Amino acid sequence: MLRLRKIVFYIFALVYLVLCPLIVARMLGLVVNPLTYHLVQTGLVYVSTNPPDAFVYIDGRVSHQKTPTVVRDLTPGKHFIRIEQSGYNDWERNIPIIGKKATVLANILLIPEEWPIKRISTEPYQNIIPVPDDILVAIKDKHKFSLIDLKENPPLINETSNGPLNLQASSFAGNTFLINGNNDLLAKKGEWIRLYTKEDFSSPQVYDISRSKPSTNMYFEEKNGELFYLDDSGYLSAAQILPYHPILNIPIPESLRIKSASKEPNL
Amino acid sequence: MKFHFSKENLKPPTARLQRALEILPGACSWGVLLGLIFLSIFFPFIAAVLIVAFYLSWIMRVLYSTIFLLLSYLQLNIEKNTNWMRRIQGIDDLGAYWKENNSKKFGRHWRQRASHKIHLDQLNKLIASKNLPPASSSIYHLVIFPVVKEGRDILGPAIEAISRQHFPLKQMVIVFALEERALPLVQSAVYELEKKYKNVFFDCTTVLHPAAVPGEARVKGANATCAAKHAAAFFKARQIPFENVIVSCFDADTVVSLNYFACLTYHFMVCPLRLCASFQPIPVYHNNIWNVPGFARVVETGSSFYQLIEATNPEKLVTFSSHSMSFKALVDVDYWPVDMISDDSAIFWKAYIHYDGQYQVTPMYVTLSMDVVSANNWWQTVKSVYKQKQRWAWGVENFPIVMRAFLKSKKIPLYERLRLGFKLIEGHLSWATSGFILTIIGWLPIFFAKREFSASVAYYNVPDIANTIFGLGFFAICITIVLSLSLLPKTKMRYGWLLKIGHAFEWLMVPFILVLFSALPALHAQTRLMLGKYLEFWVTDKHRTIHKKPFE
Repeated sequence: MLRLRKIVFYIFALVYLVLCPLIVARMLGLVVNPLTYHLVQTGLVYVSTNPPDAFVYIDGRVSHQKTPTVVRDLTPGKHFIRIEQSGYNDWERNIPIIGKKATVLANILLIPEEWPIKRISTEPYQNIIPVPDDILVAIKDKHKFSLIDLKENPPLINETSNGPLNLQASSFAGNTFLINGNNDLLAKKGEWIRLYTKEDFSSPQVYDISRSKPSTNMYFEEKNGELFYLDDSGYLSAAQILPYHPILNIPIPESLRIKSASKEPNL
Repeated sequence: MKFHFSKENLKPPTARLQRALEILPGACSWGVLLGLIFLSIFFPFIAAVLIVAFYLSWIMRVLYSTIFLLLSYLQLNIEKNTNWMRRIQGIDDLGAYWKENNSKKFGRHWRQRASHKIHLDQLNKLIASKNLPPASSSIYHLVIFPVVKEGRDILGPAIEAISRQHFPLKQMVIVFALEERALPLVQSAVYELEKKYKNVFFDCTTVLHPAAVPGEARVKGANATCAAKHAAAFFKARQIPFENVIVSCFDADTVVSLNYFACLTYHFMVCPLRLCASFQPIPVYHNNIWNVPGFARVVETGSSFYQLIEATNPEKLVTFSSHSMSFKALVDVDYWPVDMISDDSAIFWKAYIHYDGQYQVTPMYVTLSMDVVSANNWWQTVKSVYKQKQRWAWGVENFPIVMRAFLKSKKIPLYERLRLGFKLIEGHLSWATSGFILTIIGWLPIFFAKREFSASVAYYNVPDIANTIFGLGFFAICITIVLSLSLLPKTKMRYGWLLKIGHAFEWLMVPFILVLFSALPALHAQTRLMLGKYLEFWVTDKHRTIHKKPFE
């Protein structure tokens, strides 16, 4: 047993001495180029997509794992990367790879070939202004606006009353006011636009709209991954962009980009 | 070599050397851990390289150990049904016995043939050494049970197991080494047992160890030494040569298998250097295995496996827990250290130094069963297991003393001193650091990664390599689980098989156990030694709710 133990010990020691530098070299991305037999300092690329489980092709060869994945042993230089997912447009780029370095392509948004779009409103609007608490202020015209609560599914539209109202599109001491059927007040004083969402204006919920975020004609609701926008006819529509999880700073697809995006409602 | 095997009563220069050597293991362990943390934060590339090299060495060690765990387990199985008494009687008439054994094939089963082959090799070595043993009828066993708080429930099964031995009981002397400070209840239990077994053995007696003897610490070694000195007088009075006596110092909960003393006698007889040898059985912790929390079961099974692995390497084997040795050697080295906690390993080093390296530990493939540490509730058991492991790790107290002896010795070959010195320091260093590196520190380079490292190839490759290595480690754990299940005693409980399945899953706690009951107590012990806060002996809690006879 003692002799066997010594033999096995020396075998293991030898294996360790051989394996250790090889594994450390592998860890640092050093590989032998099979063509030139020279050591090459390789790089890698980390790819994750939204949605996941997409195929990754590097220079035409498919990676053995779907996204998220790490593609190793890439020689320095440009590599053509294509990401494929059924039902989504291909994502293609020429990516520069640097030896010893990792190139990170995180959360690549895959664009569906067909967007699931639904119309929310029954009437057209001129403009929408997102305010905190996932509420959209939808401006219909100079006299009407609606509050759309996106927390509800489907979004709840507090319709503007069509009847005559006090202060509906009034000006007072140089200020402009709009009040809808629920007595929500949209007020403009100089550059400031404020929304008061309580009937009793003595203790209203106040949103400084123009201060909190610039208004656009679209709004991305993170929780459900829906993009709300006014379509060409001015109807409020929702495009399901991310059914999986929210991400920040999403690139807006060209097809959904609205040309006229005002910063302030036109009161 | 004459050597003062103690940290006490040293001359100033030696005391300074002793102190420096006491600091060394703890300083090395802390140096490794803090160094890796520092590198992980400020030089993550270097840390990652070191950690990957460590992971690889760890898995190589695990796989290497698993091979020998399997071989050792196989040998334990091979010797399971060996008739040791038949062999002992054969060696008494060695010439005829050797001829008889050498001329024919033994056994139909491969186990019997393998056992016979090992037996023949041992006989050949014995004959070649020309150092023939005394007749088995003139060999005596001295069994010492140090007792301080163990009651009849613990001691009873231990003594009963000895009374059922295959070896003649009239060649056995049992000594209860009773602490004077033991509670009256414990003392009366011991005296009752003494009375009961007085006529069963050659003798069964109790030696009361005084509470405060100058120069002694409150340690088990002092108690056992006192009993051994009384036994020496006993054998001397009956003109029984010490060369014919084998002493076994057992923890009070030690329940030996039926053939333990026959097996021990056989190994004593076939060992050419039997007077300079200790005999190490395989300790298993089966007495109360089903009555303790799962983590404690895994911890102690791990300890048994460690001993199984060590048994395959007698060159590095050090005595542990309950074991046996030549009584002459014990007397020659002036008994167990009376001021050290780790008496089990210290006695080996004391003898090794006394005999200038001509001392060895012979592994015996026979088990003896002890109690798993257990207290009244789960939390107390956690604390007790931790304390026990810290006490085991306190074996690091041997390091400075052994190193002092190695520095002084001229007769022990330099290579042996370097080899054993390295094994000692490396063993304790690895004990205190491996668990932390594997479970926590190994991930720090990733955790503390700054922009430069997080954008590197290494950042993505280290977890990948670690996962592959841990995958191989899991394979080794699977083998361990299978062996663990096959070693466990049969349970008479209803749905006992469910308990065993549960035990298999308990092995998933290994990462926590590695840190909490291995690395942490070891680091704690080394830190205490480093700071000069010496540990005091703490008697392990042992608690049995259902008494079982594990070898029946």
